[in-house]
Amino acid sequence: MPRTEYRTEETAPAGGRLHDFRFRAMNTTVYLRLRASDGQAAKAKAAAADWFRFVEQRFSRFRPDSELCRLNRAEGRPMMVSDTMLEVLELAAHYGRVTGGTFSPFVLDALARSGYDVSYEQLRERSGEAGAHEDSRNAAAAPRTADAAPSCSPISALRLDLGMKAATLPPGGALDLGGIVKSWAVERFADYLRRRLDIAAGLIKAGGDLTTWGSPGEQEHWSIGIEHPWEPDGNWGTLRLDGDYRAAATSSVLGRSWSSPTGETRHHLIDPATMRASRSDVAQCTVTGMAATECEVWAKVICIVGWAEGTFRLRLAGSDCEALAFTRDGRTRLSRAAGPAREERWQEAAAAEIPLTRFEHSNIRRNSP
Amino acid sequence: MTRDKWFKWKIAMAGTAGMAFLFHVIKTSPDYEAAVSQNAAVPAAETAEESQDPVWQEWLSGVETAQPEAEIGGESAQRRGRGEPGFDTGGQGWQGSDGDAADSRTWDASGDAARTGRS
Repeated sequence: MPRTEYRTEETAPAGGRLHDFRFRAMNTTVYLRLRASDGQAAKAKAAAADWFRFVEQRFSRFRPDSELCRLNRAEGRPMMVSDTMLEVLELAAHYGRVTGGTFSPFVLDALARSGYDVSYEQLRERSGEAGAHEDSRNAAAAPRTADAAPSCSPISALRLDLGMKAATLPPGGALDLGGIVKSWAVERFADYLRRRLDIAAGLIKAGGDLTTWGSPGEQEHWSIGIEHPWEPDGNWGTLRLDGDYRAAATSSVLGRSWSSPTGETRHHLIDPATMRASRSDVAQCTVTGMAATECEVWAKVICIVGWAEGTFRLRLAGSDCEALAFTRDGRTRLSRAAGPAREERWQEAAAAEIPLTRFEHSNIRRNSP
Repeated sequence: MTRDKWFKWKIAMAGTAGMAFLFHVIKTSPDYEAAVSQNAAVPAAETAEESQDPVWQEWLSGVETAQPEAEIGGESAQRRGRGEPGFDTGGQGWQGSDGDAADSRTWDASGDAARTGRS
């Protein structure tokens, strides 16, 4: 990889030089790229491990001693919760209302019913999948199973007493906050690095959710590659992150998918309307905006309800977010709500760089319901 | 008796002068100056805001309770934290480079670290 002028202190720009870190947390890989001094970077590295461990202990649905699991066990009865839990619950309730209920944290039972009752790594081992991509292309077309699914509790059933710092779940309404916690953790930790450690610029990414601040170098902007859904080793193009578009999130039915004992392919995006894996026309969606949490929520909503309905709801909510989606018919869609800088922000790679294989698109069409 | 008192006064004066000299040395040292300027750089309003952030309070108080002697967010906090993380087997294996990052313009589009996809 090319080396840069940031290697030595003599040529380092104001604010320090670039540092890269990565580690495993919350069943995904967390990346940090920071423009900081060596001392700031060392502190940030240690704090990152501790922060994500803290978040995991609060919100993991796989740890019986997590606060989330305790809250789920108390369903129907009020329970005192931490300020951290309260903040995420408020956020989930807010987005539940804004998206008309398509974003719902009450999908834990549906996930467990579909087989996602252990961590994804264990799930892959159980289902015997080594390379999930080939199988998972059909995930969006997963057939419905015969057994009846329970209905999803409305978001209004989540009762929060902010004065008492208490939460009450509806009977049978177990929470899974995995749909928002990663982006929230990224956003919150970026805030900590910026304000507490005074780090001038950085990019933090957990799974497909990321946020940025500052600029990576003098008169530069952050720019990220967007993974191509049909070419996992290639990028569709790049997304420029600056101004009011500093965060991004990608949701996909192709990533976290697995095989049921009957050989049926399933994925983790549950449609609250059916309490089953979504079956929309969107295979992958990337949303960019100011807040990583908002981006993650809308990326999921568009994947769940489909391109037309999802972008309609995005506009209806008055959101400034922009969306890019790959539909199962092989098309790429960009939302109309984007401003005049849209063409500069979303840069599709030249065709020669991204080999779009027609055969694969044909496969997707054949497997569509 | 009078001589004893005078001797005590002399010890006290010498001690006071010694302390004053020590404070003077510390106060004129570059390290002290650096620490003062670093603290002054944090706006008072922001510090107050941070201290009122309940999430940070819960997080950081957990660290302090777990390892009172550890610097918050320090290496020791990472090693002796709240027990084994429940993320993945193998815990948190760090990879990366300190101050050795590739140019952002090339890293962005090609490096896996800066790709978004499949969450």
